[in-house]
Amino acid sequence: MFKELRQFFISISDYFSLGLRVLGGLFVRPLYINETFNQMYAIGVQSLPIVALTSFFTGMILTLQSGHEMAVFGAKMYVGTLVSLSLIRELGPVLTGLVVAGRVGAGTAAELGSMKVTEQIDAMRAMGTDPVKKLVTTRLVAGTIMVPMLSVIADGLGILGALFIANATFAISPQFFWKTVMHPLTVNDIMMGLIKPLIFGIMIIWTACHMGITTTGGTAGVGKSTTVSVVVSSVLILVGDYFITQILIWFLGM
Amino acid sequence: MIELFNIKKSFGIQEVLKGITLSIPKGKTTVVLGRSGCGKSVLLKVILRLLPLDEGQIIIGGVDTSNFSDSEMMPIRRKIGMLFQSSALFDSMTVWQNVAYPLLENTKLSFDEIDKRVMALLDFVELPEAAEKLPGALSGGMKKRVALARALIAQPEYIFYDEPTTGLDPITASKINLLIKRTQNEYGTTSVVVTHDMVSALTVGDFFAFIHDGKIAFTGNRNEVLKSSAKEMQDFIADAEPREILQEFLNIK
Repeated sequence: MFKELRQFFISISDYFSLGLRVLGGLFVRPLYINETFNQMYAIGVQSLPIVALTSFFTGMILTLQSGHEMAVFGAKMYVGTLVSLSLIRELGPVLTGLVVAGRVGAGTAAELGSMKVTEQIDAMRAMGTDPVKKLVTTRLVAGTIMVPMLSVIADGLGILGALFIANATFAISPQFFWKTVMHPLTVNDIMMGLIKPLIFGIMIIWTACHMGITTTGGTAGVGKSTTVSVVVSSVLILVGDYFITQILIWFLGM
Repeated sequence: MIELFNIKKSFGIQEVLKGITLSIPKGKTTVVLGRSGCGKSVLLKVILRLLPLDEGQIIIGGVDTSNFSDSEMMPIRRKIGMLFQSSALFDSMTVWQNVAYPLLENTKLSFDEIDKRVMALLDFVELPEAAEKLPGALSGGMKKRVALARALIAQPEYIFYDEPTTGLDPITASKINLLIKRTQNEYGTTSVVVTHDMVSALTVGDFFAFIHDGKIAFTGNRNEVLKSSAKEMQDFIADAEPREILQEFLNIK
């Protein structure tokens, strides 16, 4: 029990020390610009189809479920307001975060974990390369930029899915739906919709990289790191979402 | 020259290196012998500081690196080529990219110059046709040869070989041994070979150090190894290879 507790605190300490090393070397050469663009492509562009699919259908389902309930109160015309606020403030960032945690987080932890157990990370160090700069910083920068972008796209596609159902099922005209989507939105909502995925992006990649480069125990260890990375990232997103929301409500005075 | 004084390294409560003191002569091939798990590979990684040093002093080319941080070790590591036991080639890169990696990372040489050096080394390890292949498409022996080319590309002062023939069939192992010998003859680097393969050790080594129970139990040249009266050394030689194979090898030599 004591040994496990000690190991847990060492792991937490390593997690934060990795973050400090990334911050410390962020603007120190070499900057690995090309590698960062490659990671932006892998994290952002290659996640786009699954994020698009998830958000489009979520928008449709949200409209379908809430539209019928709102119709009972004669408020189905305002389903666009509910959908836009839900998607931009919560569902867009959270769903994007969970999808990225599953796709990119698992992939990153598995890739770096494999590199660790096959001595590729040691080889990098032996050749005078800092693996944290080359492997972690590039991914973290890419994730911080791309996850908010994915979230914005998810918001847009979710609203598009909602518009489709609102028109097809509840006979709400696209023009009116668009007005109800845009009318309640404030700058604070947009801020919340951008700050959350930015933090989620950092948390997902940071966790995945930490799990990857601390992998031990061969291929079984790689599997364990991958699983832990996805579970921890998902929990951090869901629990973190509450606290981020609370803090943003205080700061933004919503 | 690399000098080690009282090197100690533990993993938890397990003390692996209990005070290694060894001088690795310049321009020669030093073979570090010992049974599996005795800490030979750990010693190489401690010298490179891929593993932290618990206690002792390491002097590489006159520079005391014992208290160097990871970033201070970077320029020292660039003087050392390392061939890992698992070859440790980057899976996502082609053979050309793997071999070129140290030059692409640490120098500002032109593409043409890098290409010339990479292809010359791939010729040296007799794998020019593999340049565009991924490591996954290579056999174990081919991977070792590519890893050797990568270790040599930056023209290092020192080369460390971690179990270069482990897991290879005798013919491929013999090819690797000859390549290590050729490397020594053509490049004149200071080499450290860690192995438990006696045939390989006797083929490539000039100077031998035997690790037993976390300490250097014996040092000497080839003849001194074979004629050693130290019990641990004799037991190791007797157990390391079937006696007939070793005898046949020595007769050929």
